[in-house]
Amino acid sequence: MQIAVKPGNPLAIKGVGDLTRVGVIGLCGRTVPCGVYAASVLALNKTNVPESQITRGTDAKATLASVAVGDANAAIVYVTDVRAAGKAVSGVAIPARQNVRAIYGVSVVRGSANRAAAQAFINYLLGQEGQATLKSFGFLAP
Amino acid sequence: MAERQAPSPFTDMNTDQTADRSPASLPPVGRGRRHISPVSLGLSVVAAVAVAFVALPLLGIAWRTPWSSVLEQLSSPAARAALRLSVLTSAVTALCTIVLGTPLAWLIARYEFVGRRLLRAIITVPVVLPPVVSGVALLAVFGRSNGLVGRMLFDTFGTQLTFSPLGVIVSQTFVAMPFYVLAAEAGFTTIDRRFEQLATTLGASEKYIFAGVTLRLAAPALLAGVVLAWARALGEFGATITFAGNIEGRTQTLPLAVYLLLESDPSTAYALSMVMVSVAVAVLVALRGRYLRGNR
Repeated sequence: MQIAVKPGNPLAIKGVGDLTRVGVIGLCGRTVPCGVYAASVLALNKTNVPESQITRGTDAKATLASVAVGDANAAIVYVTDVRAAGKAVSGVAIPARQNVRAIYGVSVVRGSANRAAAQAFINYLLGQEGQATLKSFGFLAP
Repeated sequence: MAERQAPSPFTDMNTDQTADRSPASLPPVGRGRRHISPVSLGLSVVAAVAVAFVALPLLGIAWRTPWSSVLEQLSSPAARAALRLSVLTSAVTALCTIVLGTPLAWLIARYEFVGRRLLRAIITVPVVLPPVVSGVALLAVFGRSNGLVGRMLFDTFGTQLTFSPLGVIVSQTFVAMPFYVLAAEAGFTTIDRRFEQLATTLGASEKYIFAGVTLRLAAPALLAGVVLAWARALGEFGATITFAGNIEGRTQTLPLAVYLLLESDPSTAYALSMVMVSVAVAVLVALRGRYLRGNR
């Protein structure tokens, strides 16, 4: 996960601990994955942001939008979303030890009618080209 | 500005009594007809499908509502906060639409001026705009970091509309006001101007005529408009979450709470949905009986 802040980080947010002093921050809904990850990040950093300072986005994109176009000063979202937002936001990295990582798996469905095509897609994803594409969007290699 | 043409006074007093004029050779046509033709049967079947299409999902909510624990669900802190916020903001919104919308509706209804149609079109835009777009539009003007007016408000008064109940009211008023203005305009257009003219001949002041005659005659239409606007405000989702945010107890209204709770606590979501359905049905039924008179 990463902290998304206003372009150029005008509030000089250095880490998760600063999120208690920047007014309203955006987080995903408590039960959707990015909200669960964000809660873990806050817990790992022993940072307690009161619910009255949290605007809940319906998903990661909406949460990021609360910073990009709205008045939230920070949000905890996926690294990949921060990168995809381009210049609309800046990203503040969270040290790996106080961070959580979303891990995505891929496999062929057992009852698949198109095994060959599915396997080909997986080979592509794990191959050089697929990995390069994923990397360009901010995903890390397994 | 030229005043729009009023019906010429006292020449068409009896035009309502058209019943006598219908040719005697034709059978009376109307709601009382008993004969069932294939066409009316076909139309009735389609109509039944339409009713089922709307009514079944409403029944579905009733079906899913956890009736045995509904009070418990509704008294959870998040649910109570959402209920309170929705009641408060939608009521203030209704008030705002009356205060802001009535003069505008009157102007559009009574005067012919350059840009009148354009004005009406502009005021109607929020009805057809996707609510999220309305929210983005509001951010562009009233947002603190990206909106011109919003920045000014914050710098001079320290007021921030986003992430505050005020912002909820702004969002709701933006999307709901057209419903009131259009209904009120129709009301002002259709009232019988002769009563106003009569009041003038009796020496009533302009102020009295507006308050005592025009507003009173248009009252049913105005009320219908307020109810529509209020209902729209109560159900507002997209503009609110985009502009005002989704903060529990501050900007999380009923629809927002329902949407978020669907994942974590579906039974409370259904209970809250049931509240909204009940309120909607109750208000519409009450008004239909007392004010929104149909043809019978």
